[in-house]
Amino acid sequence: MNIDNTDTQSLSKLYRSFIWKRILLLASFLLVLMLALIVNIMAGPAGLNLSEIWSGLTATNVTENYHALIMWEIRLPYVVMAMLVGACLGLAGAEMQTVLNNPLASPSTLGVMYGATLGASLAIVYKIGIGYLPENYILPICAFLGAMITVLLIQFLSAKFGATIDTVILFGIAMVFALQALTALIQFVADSDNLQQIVFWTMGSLARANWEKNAIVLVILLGCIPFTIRHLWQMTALRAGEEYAKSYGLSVERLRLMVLFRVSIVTAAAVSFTGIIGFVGLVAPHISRMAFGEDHRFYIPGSIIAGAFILVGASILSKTLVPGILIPDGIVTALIGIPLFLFLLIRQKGAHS
Amino acid sequence: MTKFSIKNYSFSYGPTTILSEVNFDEIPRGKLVGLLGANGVGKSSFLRSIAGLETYTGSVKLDGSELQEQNMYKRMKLVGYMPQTLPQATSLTAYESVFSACRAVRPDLSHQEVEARLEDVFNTLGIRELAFKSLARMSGGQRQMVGLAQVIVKRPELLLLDEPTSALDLRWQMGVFNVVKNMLTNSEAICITALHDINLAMRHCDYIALFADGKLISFGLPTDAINEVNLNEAYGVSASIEISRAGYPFAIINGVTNE
Repeated sequence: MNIDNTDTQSLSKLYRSFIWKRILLLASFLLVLMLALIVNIMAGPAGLNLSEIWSGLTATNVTENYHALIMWEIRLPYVVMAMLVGACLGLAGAEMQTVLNNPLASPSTLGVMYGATLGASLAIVYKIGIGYLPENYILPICAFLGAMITVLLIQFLSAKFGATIDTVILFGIAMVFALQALTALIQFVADSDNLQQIVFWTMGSLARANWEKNAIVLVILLGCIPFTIRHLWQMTALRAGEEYAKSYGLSVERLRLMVLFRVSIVTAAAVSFTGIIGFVGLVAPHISRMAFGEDHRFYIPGSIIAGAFILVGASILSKTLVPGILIPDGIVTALIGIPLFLFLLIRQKGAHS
Repeated sequence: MTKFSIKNYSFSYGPTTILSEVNFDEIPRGKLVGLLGANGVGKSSFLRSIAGLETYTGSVKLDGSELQEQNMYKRMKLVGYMPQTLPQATSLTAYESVFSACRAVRPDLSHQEVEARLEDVFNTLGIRELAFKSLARMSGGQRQMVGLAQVIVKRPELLLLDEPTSALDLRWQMGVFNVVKNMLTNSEAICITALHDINLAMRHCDYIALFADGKLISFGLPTDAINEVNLNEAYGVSASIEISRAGYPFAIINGVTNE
């Protein structure tokens, strides 16, 4: 942006060129995500090259084509899950940081992920059965219920005692500790097989992806997006500070509760199928904020794409770091997430001084 | 015709009464009212309650209609309130923050209308060069100017400013008051502003309301409302009021009184 132009050109004209640059940047973010998707599909024990991917994608009879089978049954569901879960966490993190006015907030701040862990642990240890539901859905459903009960508790407490940032975060922290203690208790009574399963769940893995699960996450994500769009201007206005937002007539606490509820549903949907995947929801908003600023019309999609990219990228590493072994994605995101986060923080600090 | 009036206003914070028995005679449109009083006397609560962020008891009427009975949307169209705090240092640019403020309050305005208003606001306030700078990289004074821009872009009929010049240097203080007074003359709005600087208030305001101990102790033209006795009562200082060579009244504070 050439600021010297402000004397001669109308501000709206300058603003429009500013917007166009952001649209281009958003498009290039998408392009990078697409490249990462392709690399992800190519990576794996049976390496596929581009022409094999193409023949697999376009094959008419999937069961007879070896490449098509790998593509449609293993690689694609896996990479689509990575993209969807990353997108969910990117969206949730961005909205969370806005409504809690805190760059350290993430989808796990309010205990949603720990609620999911508790639900999953209960399902594993007590072998919960629900009607005729297939077994591989019981665990995600219990995780989702655990997360939703956590959310509803926090919503109830916040609605009763006032949804200021401080009270919401305090309830969240209390919830995190309580849920961790309960989960530890269940781990304590669990036998070694179950314990191993719980621990593996908390590491987060995309390995259990299939098309049905992808469809469920996609539906929940798409269901939440219209509400996000409705709140875009309000969330942008909130960035000027709570007092200013209130002075525009925004009901800040109501907005906060609605956004937190939406964020929790999206987070719960994402982690119920994969287990705990940390740092994506923390780092993606920071990347987006650096690239797009905080006009939420760009910041939110930017964070969604960044989140998807991080998880797709992490899953490439999880498949390739140790040949033949799929390192749980939650471990990889945390391992690349921490240095990335520190780098961003230090860079930001440097830019300000 | 009544333009703005306050009758038997009081404000409580829980069981504690902050202000009571506040009455403003009818204030005609186009006038600037300064609120003065010691820290914590309730100036900000007064403005916040009129703006709709708190609830008052009594009557506050603009053109004969009770403010608290308006729905939120209508009230926000009528009233523009600038908080005492500065806009947060975010990575939003000034243009974006004013744009979103306008969009959040007035979804009915067309995109072109919003753009035209922004052009106008940045020009009048003289902050064009800040338009595409992020708030995080601005000084406190610059952010205060952006905060003012966010409020006047709404073109409210009742402008409530809480110490709008607290972070500004002398020249910008003068600039802000000139802009506000011009706006009042052109749009026939009414402005109520809390101030700490008595001299700034006496120089620019048409009326002054002086608060002390939860009451309005004087209200009127600056030279009527401010005198040595009142200042002592409100701030606990001994002061003398003089007239400058340019003809403006000003107060010199001689010292702190013991009572």
